Amino acid sequence: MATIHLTQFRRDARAMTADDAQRAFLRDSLAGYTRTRDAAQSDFQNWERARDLAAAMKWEAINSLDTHLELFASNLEARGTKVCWASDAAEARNYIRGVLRENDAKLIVKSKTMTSEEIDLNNAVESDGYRVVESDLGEFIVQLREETPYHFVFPAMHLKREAISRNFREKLGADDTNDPEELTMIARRALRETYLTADVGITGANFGIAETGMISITENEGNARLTMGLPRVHIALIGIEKILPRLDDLSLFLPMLATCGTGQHITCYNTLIGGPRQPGEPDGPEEFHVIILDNGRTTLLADPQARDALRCIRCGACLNVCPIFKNIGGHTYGTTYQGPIGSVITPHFRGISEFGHLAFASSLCGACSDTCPVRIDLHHHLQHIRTLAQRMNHRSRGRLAMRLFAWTMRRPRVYRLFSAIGRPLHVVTKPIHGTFVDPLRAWRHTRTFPDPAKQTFRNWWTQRVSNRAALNKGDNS
Amino acid sequence: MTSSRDAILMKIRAALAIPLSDRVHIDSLPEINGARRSLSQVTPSAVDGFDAMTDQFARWSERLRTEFTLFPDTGRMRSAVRTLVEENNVQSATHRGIVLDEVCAGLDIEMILGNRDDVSQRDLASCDIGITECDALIANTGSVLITAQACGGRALSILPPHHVVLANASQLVPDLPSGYALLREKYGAGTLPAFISLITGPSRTADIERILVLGAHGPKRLTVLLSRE
Repeated sequence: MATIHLTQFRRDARAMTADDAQRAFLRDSLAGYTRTRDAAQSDFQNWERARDLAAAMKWEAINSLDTHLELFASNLEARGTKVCWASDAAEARNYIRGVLRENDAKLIVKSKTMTSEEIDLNNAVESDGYRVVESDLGEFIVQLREETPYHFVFPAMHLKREAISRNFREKLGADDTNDPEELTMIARRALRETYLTADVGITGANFGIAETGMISITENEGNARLTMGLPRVHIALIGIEKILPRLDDLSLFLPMLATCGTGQHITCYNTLIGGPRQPGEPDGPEEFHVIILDNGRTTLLADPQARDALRCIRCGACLNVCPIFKNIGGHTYGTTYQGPIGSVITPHFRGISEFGHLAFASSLCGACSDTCPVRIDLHHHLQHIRTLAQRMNHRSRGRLAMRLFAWTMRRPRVYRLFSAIGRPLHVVTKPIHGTFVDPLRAWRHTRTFPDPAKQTFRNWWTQRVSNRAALNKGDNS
Repeated sequence: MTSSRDAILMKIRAALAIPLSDRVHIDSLPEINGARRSLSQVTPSAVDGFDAMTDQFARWSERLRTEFTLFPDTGRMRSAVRTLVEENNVQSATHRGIVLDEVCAGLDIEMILGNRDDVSQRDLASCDIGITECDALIANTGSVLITAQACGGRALSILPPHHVVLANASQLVPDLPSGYALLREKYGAGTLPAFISLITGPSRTADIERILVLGAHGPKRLTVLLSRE
């Protein structure tokens, strides 16, 4: 049975793969990314070794996650931060609602946080009557369009400037322009007042530093700094896997995240926040809340074959090199996290039966594993999810077919029988190939099945052996 | 009833007690302490010595479009602030810091918000220029390291459209770990400021068709003035 997610995936994938212009646009954009990323990588003294060290450091963090999280939380609390531990999305949303109520908030400004997309925060608080404004330019654009982010690092990468200009004209009353700089300035002006009047700022976090009790936020625009610096209350959402034990670990992870994320040597603003306004500081929020979110991550941790996927730093590099992403685009995934890493973690977070199909949308080429800065073996994880999905699907046709195949392959006579009838059957059934009556339609309506060779291997081999024997005989005489 | 904190920690401990599958390859991962020690051998190269660091900082500044100038002494750096204010027709400025009090006292412009504690965010937003000191300059990334305590809080360096940073020679360090070391020395390892920001170039975005635009939400211009003294 196809779930709604699978149906949506199939529909959108079909539409996107047929849209040559959009695919070309996506390809060009990602080719540009690859060039700048390669340049940034070459600034490292030893990129491959840097990946080893990054993998080792994140792995150590994951392997004593409980200790690091406790230290992280107690260090935050020591500076007056309120820490909330949330087991799932509902708990995180309810906590935020509580903070909004207590502070009599009306306007909320947000910087880019995928964790908030994961818990579907905007819909929840908007239905309570609060106004939420996204401040990252890409997020601001997709929010105006009432869309979800296309890519978890480049939310509006699917849009051309003409479309953005149209949205700005319709929603903001701006003049038409095709100049990216002017478009950016329209957003800058529109958001200035929001920063100054918002009651609460909500951000995510790229890393949580255990030894100092700080969140680290990476950005380029300055919108996160304004979001967490100006409103009276700052709420930050952080997944449990974002922990790094030491402050100095950032000296590797900040340049690495920038390199893989956007092809920069380091991003424009990398900010550490350890608490609300402290004595002796001239400004800053009166309240700072950090929500430590599980929401399925411990399920991933408990899978002995999938645990290392928690090393992910959400740089998005695996999306940018993925042949599937390039051809089906970001929205097709129907998830917060797109691309290979999304197809690995979403089934664990939200259910194999609902999202297991994503793991099948892969050529298992391994481009993702080759590029991952923390060396997550992504294509093996995809294969692992395929296994889990198949196990749940006891009576699937695919499973039956594989059983039949295995049974046949162990019996030479049956194999010979099938290959004998297979060839003529192929020729006779040709007119129905790919049509609705074809039992193999799923495969054949997009592919031409090649005609079998004139001779089976087995026949050819027998013939070859007898020919040789004849030849040898001739030589000897 | 167990709290979510305990529930999450319990789940983590239970999960970590499950042995890892041998299909996950971790043999190739380097040992952690050795890994931490060898970080400086893999990250982008750092240089030593004031002149080499200045060169590196200047090269990054050019690429990042940071306006960077080196001055032979503090006196000349200070008078450069005056020139900057005059040349750019600055109407209003804001600053923080003891050194800056002296520098800015002589500026002949309409409004200097100065070290007042009652500066509103709207006042800050209306300034043409924000002037701060810094905690460190990082040579191998071309970055300015600031803290809320030393650099006028969280908003001053991000709200005005032009951020001017004054630094002295002892603040220029080779790389990030040495920048963090300066912070530990100055504030104490356990009592670091609650706001630390690493600023690398003026605010930017490439969210529209990957085309670089400066001044997305933060300053459109970043000026770094460094005194050799």
